Amino acid sequence: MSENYSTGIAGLDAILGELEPGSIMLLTGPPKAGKTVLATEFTYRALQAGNPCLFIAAEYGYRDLQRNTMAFNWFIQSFADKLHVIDLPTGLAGGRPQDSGNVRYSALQNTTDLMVKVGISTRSLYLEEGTMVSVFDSASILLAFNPPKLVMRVLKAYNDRVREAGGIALVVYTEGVAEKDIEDEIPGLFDVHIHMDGSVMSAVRGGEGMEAPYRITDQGVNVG
Amino acid sequence: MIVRVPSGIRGLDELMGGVSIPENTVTLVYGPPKVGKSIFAYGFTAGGAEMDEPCLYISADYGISDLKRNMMVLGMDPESYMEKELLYVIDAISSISGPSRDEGSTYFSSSVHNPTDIMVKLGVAIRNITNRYNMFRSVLDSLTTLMAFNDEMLIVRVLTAYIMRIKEAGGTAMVTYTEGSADPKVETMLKAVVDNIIHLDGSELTVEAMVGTGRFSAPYTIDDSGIRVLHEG
Amino acid sequence: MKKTYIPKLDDLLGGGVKEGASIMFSASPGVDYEAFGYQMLNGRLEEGSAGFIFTNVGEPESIIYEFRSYGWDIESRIENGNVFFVDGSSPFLGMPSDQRYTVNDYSEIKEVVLRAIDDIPGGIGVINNLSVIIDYLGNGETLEIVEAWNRRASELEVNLVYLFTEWDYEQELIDRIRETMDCVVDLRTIEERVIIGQGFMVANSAWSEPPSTMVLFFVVQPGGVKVYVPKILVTGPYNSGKSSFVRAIATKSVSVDRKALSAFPTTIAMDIGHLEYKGFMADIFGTPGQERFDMILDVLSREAVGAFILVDSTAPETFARAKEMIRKTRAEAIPKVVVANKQDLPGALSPEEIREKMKLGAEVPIVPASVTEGWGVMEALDTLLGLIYGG
Repeated sequence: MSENYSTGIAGLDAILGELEPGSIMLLTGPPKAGKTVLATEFTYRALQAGNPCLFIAAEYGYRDLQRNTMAFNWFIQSFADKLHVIDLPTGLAGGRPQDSGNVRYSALQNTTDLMVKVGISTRSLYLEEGTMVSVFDSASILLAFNPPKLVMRVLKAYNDRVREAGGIALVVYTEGVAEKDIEDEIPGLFDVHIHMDGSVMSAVRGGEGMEAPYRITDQGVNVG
Repeated sequence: MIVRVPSGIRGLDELMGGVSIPENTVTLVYGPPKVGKSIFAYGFTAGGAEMDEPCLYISADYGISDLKRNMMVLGMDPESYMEKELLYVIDAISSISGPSRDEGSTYFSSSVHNPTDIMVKLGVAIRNITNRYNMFRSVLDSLTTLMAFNDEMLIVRVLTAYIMRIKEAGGTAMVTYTEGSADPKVETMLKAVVDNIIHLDGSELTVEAMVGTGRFSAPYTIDDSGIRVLHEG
Repeated sequence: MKKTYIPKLDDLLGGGVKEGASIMFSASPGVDYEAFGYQMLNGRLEEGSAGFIFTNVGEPESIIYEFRSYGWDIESRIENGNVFFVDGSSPFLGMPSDQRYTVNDYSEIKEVVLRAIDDIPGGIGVINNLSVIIDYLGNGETLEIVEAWNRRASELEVNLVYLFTEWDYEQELIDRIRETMDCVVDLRTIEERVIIGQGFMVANSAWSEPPSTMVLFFVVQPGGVKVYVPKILVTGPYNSGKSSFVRAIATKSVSVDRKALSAFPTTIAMDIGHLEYKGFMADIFGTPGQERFDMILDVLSREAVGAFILVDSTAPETFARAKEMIRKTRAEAIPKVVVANKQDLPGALSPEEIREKMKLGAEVPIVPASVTEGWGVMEALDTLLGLIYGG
């Protein structure tokens, strides 16, 4: 659990390098740049390599996560015991979705409950073999359901939780949804900043970065 | 393997190999005013009805009378669709100008001032539909009008709930929006919560995003049967 | 005094909460605190009090469902009008609400809650939660509103129960909020890289001198908040003095038993004791030393909040086995203290020498001790408790 981590996505590893345990990454870009594809591929490669994963589905629910991954033939269901999902939006559909297996339902406007479930999942996954990976897709939707300052606090608490457990986090954020003071503050909460603009992907760490062109194909994200 | 449904828009499905709109997704159709966004939505509706797939139409821009007339002008038969229970209309505008007509099983009166009530009527309509059908469509026309009468972020939340309800029920949704009509931050949020984005500018249709498809453009016109997307061959 | 219906909390508060007093449960992010507010409300409703729940985090329907999951009947009391909702959640989400009060906009919140307080003299109101209010309204306005609520509640002898997630607010704001409350109960996580436990502690109370005891708890459905008696492991190689150590730290009033665990293929004797020390309660499990019983270590350690690893300071050949037992008890993931026992015997290595021979990281304390001579044991216990609660 103290070894460095590689994402397993070829061109991305080339521009990102190895990640130390406790690295917290921000993934930004305009809508539909392919961030969700990257985030789900990141999840799948982590699971494939035997690592446990906590996926916070905020902008879409568990059902869509399954569908999105199946479209690329990434069968995350085969890693059910190492994949924890916290589904935030499905409760809005009106039913009362039941927690089942490692899939827990919370709400977009109950960030306290979200952190309780993050605590439960990180505790459980910490005991598994491998490096714990956590994906949050996306933090920007929280801004429609919570005051902006509170969203920042939640992000800090979430980042601290993953960092403390020595995991690797990937937080997806659609640029341009919040006031400038909030958007300017967000990158400061992260160690690594990956940006996708539709054709070029960049990865910046400690002021230094590399970039490469990318395309979304039916195999996933093709970088370089 | 992505399952797709016919869009009902002439030329669009052909361009994409037979069927275009991914099933159980939400498509944003947006662009400047008067480029045919509502007409696009009518085509989507009629396309479903012709296949015996019902459509749940939330109409905030046009009351039921205008909606029916607009569709009839394009050669569609909304009266027949409603009789066959292939078209359900939540009319959010007529009540503003006068007393609402009787509600039947396919007509619901609501108000743009009361998005909560629109969602309540949505729930009832979904239950009616899913009692008899596995697949259905839904249109929300338009977000712009709802945002004109309510706090924009409230409508984003309501839209998120709408999307979750339609998806949970197995439907495929389309939402229209006038580009630039809301705060840019809200517009960006809209683009993030939908699955597919189609832009119309009056002469060119651009698929800016669609699950399993790359970006592409094609010219289009509006004739007396609705939108026609042009392509070679 | 009004009972809180939270186990152990009434003891810590000198009997309960005073009539008309405000009480805030202030939780670190990650701690499950809703049960505290709901359990207090449920207990009072069963006594015959009236009450309300203000919510800005979940619709009334989902809260009613939570009550049902805890095994508490709130629905019939809603029907009788004994309890109602102040719904700040449904309008926000665009959902319908037929509750007695709705808050459509944060500008109304002060007046609406005041009306709710007026409805329930002698009753109990739960505010779930305060953090969201602060970040919508801003610090100054929220404080003024809370003060107004507390004043009205005090006049009408209504207990207001505030749920507050202590995100990274400025310390000054947190201090001022705490000052407006008659009683503050802190809910904290017990951590070792991840959350391994939760505890509550009364930080201050206007009507009593609360002891600084942390009570570990867990929340179950059904049931609610239950006091958690943690396990502390005492492990180490054979003959390192585990039995004597367990006997030394266990409270005199509870005898140490050698219990046979018949669920396992062979009969295994273990030292088990109960400890109450400085307000901390735990069950002590002395694990068997022989390798053939190692499978138990994994099972026991899943619920342990701390571990003592005893080593015989005169037997360096056993240090490797000690390290192996640390690994097998998953004691890597819980706070632990190495007790360098038998310091009284000739040839005993010093803690520094032991640390070097074991290649033990600096973060694990090594406490010298001689159980037979009776010293070092309390120091080891204080050290471990400091690790468990200190973070």
